[in-house]
Amino acid sequence: MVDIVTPLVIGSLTVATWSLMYKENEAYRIAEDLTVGVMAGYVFYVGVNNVNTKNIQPLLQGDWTQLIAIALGILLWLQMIKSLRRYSRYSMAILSGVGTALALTGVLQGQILAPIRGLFLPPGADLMTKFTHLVSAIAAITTVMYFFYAIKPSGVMKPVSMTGRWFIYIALGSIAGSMVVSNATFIYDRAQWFLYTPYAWIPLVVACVVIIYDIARNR
Amino acid sequence: MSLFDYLERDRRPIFLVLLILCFLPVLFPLNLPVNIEYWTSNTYGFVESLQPGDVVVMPCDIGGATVAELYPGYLAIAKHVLAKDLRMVIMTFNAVGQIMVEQTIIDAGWQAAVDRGEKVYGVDFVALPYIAGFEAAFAQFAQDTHSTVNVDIYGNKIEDLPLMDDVHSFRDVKFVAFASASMPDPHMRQWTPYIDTTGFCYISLGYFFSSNFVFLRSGQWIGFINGVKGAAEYEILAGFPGRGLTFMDQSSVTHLYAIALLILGNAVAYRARTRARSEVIA
Repeated sequence: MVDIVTPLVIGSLTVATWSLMYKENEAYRIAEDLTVGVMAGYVFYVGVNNVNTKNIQPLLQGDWTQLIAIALGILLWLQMIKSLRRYSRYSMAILSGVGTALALTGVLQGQILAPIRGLFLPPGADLMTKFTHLVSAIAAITTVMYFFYAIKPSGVMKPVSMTGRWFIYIALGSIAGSMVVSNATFIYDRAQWFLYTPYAWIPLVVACVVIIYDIARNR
Repeated sequence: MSLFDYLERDRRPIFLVLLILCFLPVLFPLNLPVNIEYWTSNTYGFVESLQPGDVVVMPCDIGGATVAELYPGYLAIAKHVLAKDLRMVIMTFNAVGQIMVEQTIIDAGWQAAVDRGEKVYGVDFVALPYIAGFEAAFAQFAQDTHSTVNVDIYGNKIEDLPLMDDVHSFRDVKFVAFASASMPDPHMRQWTPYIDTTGFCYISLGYFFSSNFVFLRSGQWIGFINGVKGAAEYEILAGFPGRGLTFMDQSSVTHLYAIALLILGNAVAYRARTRARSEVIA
């Protein structure tokens, strides 16, 4: 029974979401609200479970250090009470302090020294790799020059700045194109799911019939 | 009314054709050739070079919004790890990732291997629950694994799992393949100190492609899996044809359609402009 009901429910929610492409409707809104609601509920469950297994249970078994974490967590909640809001700053300060310290200690080795080391590696044997490195170097320098506002882009600086602008256009176009591919993957995934999962085609056919009926009725 | 006029008024047929084109390659596979890039083959080669029993850590930060793009590549590596007889620690730093942790165990065949008696949970692989804290969690898990988690996803104590006796930090791990929808910078800020003993591979969304080269070029990563294309490449290399390859067929067909729409859109715009001009002249 579960093997039949599950694909029917998932398939119905998928076609309900897709139905926005036809027109705004109740089915789409139900699917949208369900998605947000279920996800929020699941994250809440995971959060509560996490606190229980990692803080509450060890505390009950005598690990008193957990009290510090629990107290800081409770202080965060005081953000919701206007008169006690200032106490939540202690937790916030610890969170941001630890976060900043972690990032700063890691950034030197992970994001400055290692990439610089990579910059000094030989560009590779074949001509194409060498050409790619040359283009990358020109792109990096001209793009930085485009954002160099201390000098007005005139004379020899103008074509350099313009080249940088064109590299920005190309980079943004490439990122936008990649995002389209990424987002299209959802449809590919669902198409495979509809065709590979038993009974999943039923909501799809029902949706087609409903849409055809709606078109005929409004004609 | 011409087709151009109709499409100017109603764009829904465009969506309908797109949907149909997404379904067709699944029904009729085109098996278009996929060029294998060195960042994928490097990853495959590294996993191939590992010895049976080596430990692999696979953080699975895949949520509902990224499952379609990240999961095929992640799954292909999980299957390869199983086939190579490596030991796996699978976990997540994402609150919704635990669903995919459990799904991977099933889809990659680890659960079936347990059912057949070929693998033992706790000895050959361990599934850890969501570890909160993002960058702080990355740092702590890599530095002192046992202080970060106390139980697995089934509620067993970490001390009771034999595999975890051999995993105390990333120094004990040969390979880390992490799938994440976020930029890899926080991961590599905390994990770069381990690159001399541990190979890293990032299973990435397609639009991080360009920025991935910073970490690849610097030697911080062995390689990366570039979205579904990377997944398709890895599936070919590992010999596990799966969803990634079908994705590539669908992607190729819909891209041709997108190019056709681009030309059509420009033709419609050009036609509207010339018509407006002629009306002004008249």
